[in-house]
Amino acid sequence: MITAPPASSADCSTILADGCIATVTATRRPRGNRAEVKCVVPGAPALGEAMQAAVRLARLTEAAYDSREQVVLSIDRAPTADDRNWELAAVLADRMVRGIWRPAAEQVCAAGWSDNWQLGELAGDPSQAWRLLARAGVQPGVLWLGAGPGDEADARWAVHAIRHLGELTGHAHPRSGISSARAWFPLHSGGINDTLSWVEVSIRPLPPDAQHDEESTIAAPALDLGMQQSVRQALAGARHFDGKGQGRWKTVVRFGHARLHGESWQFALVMADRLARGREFVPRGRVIASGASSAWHAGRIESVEGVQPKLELILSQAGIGDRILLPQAWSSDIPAGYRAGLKAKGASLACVERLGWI
Amino acid sequence: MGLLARMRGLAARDQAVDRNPAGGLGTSALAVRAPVPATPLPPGAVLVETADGVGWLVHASPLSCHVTPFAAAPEIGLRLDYCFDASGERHRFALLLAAEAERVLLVESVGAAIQEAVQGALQLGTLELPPCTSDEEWHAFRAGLNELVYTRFGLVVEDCLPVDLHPAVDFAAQLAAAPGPAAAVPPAAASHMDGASAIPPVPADALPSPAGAERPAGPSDTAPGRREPWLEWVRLADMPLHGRRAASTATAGAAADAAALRRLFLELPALAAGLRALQMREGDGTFAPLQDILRRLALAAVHVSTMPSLAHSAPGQRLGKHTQQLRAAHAAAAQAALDESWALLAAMRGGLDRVRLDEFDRVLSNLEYSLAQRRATQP
Repeated sequence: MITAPPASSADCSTILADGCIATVTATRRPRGNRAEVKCVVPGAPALGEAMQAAVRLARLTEAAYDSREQVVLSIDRAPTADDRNWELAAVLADRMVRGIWRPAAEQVCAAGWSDNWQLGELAGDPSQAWRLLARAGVQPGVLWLGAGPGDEADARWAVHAIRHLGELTGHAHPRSGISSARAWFPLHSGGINDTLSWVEVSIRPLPPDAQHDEESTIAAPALDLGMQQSVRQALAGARHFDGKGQGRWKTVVRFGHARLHGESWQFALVMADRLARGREFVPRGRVIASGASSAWHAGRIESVEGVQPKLELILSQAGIGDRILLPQAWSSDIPAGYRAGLKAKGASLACVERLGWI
Repeated sequence: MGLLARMRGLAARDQAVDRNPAGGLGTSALAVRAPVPATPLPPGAVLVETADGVGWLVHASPLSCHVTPFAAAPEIGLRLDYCFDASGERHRFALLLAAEAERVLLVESVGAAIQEAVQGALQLGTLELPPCTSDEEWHAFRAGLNELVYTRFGLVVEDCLPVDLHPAVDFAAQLAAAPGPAAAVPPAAASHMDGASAIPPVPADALPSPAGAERPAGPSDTAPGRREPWLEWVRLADMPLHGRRAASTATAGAAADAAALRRLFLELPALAAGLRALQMREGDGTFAPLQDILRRLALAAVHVSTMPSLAHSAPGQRLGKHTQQLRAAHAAAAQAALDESWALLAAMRGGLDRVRLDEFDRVLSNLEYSLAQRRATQP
């Protein structure tokens, strides 16, 4: 119910086929009987119409509709006719200006297109995007997003890839044969580099009659052996506690950051797994969780270190509809007014002792 | 034959009801039309009169249904025990019968409508059921759910418990049977960038479904071959973009248009009455915006009651099929806005504040926009 403070304009850049960076700018104003989306591309009216169609179709995946205002989109360089990487940037700029999506970074650069924007699906050419990205040079502090199958593509690109618009808030893709969900966790590394990182669990069904060792069906590429083992044990334990998830899924786990110390990501991993398996209440925004356990098979959540910096980071990064889950042991450390601060941003907080719906 | 019954493809069951007016009451039907004055009432039934000479036999004992609160989490359900409260206020339920039922109100369609209302409220945030819900949050959800079901349907929620649907609903099997992202692409839709700007028409099946994998059976599911050809004339990008529900119901045509207008005609005054009955506090700045909302609601009701017919721009002048379908789509969008405003009214009964009033302003703007577009003779 709490809406974001209105931003008057938002930028999202994209990369053109010739390697130049183009910027899509979205502004909003009262509608006044005009079209809800207007696209201005000097000298290329066909491109303007295609942009309007893409943005309007992508809006079909949103829950709420607001007919009171008009969003005007413009792009500062016209792409060639067969270049479609700007589509994702236009859709994201439209969401950013209306406060529907709030990126973690100041600047966003996106490349991707879709033939099914009304379903929120994303296509694209990951290898081309990676090549162009490397040529343009990555600025630090710019959030890169692009389409692509995360598993097969270059591992360096995989962390930027999204396959569905719902992945921006971690939600599963309703139509594909793979269900994937993301959860976020605070990563404390000495103050200035503190960030929210994500973990993604993708599952696909196994044939029902097959007999598998649960841990052997869980893959975590690009992780070192110790961490792979930790991921497998946490997931297998939590599924054992759940009682309904064993022997049914082939699982792939990906992290937004490759090298992690400590085990505070475990709770986020378990929540992403439960969301992907369709066995958890779905928040409107993201799940942000911190916690570990030595006994996932009992569903117990134990405390982790770094209470204060993590609380501060979460408060600064939380957005509309986000759900923050912390260990029960932290409840005495939460300062007065912290919950109210989160509520003012539209997020909610729970301190959890044990997994479960209630 | 009842409209709802026909839409659910339950013709056989409806014939059974026709043979015995009270048959199925309490098992498959929550209410059935009956002549007034009624012959001896069946046990457990109550007579509700919606108009002079129009009576309904209503089952007055608790019924139960399973609701999936999140389309993305099909293995979690809520078991909802609800009941028609014969001793309490009957106006809202009588309005439901008058506006949304034809000859019989099936238990199944009531369950589906409750599920849609709950999913919509959770998506909009008027109800909150986040992961690892605490006791307080659960009680707040229960209070909001009771208010929602009472405000929208006139039914009383007796009990509500989360249940694990797992053996009955197997998400793994659903995923294995899903068409996959590539199969959902109609071949023509992939070429919309070929120089031109036109998007080819996307068949109704490719629209996002309201409940994810579990799409209620509608006319387009039961008989895809018999779909009227003009339903495919409208480009998807021209559809009124009022969220997924409006767009997916927008392809139903003239019957759905009439049903939507009937609902708006009957329910808008009742909605305004509900808003007038809200508890106001002095000095919190809600009076003026609420006055404005009531004025605009009255104007919207006038717009609905003077709405032109679907097929004509003037007497004797028929509109093109394309414009007709757009008009029907806008009527469905207006109905979706009506559903949202009932959910908001339920939330406002829990507490009236500026944020909710602003949300109501948004929904009402959508309603006004859809009604204006429903009137338009030019697409």
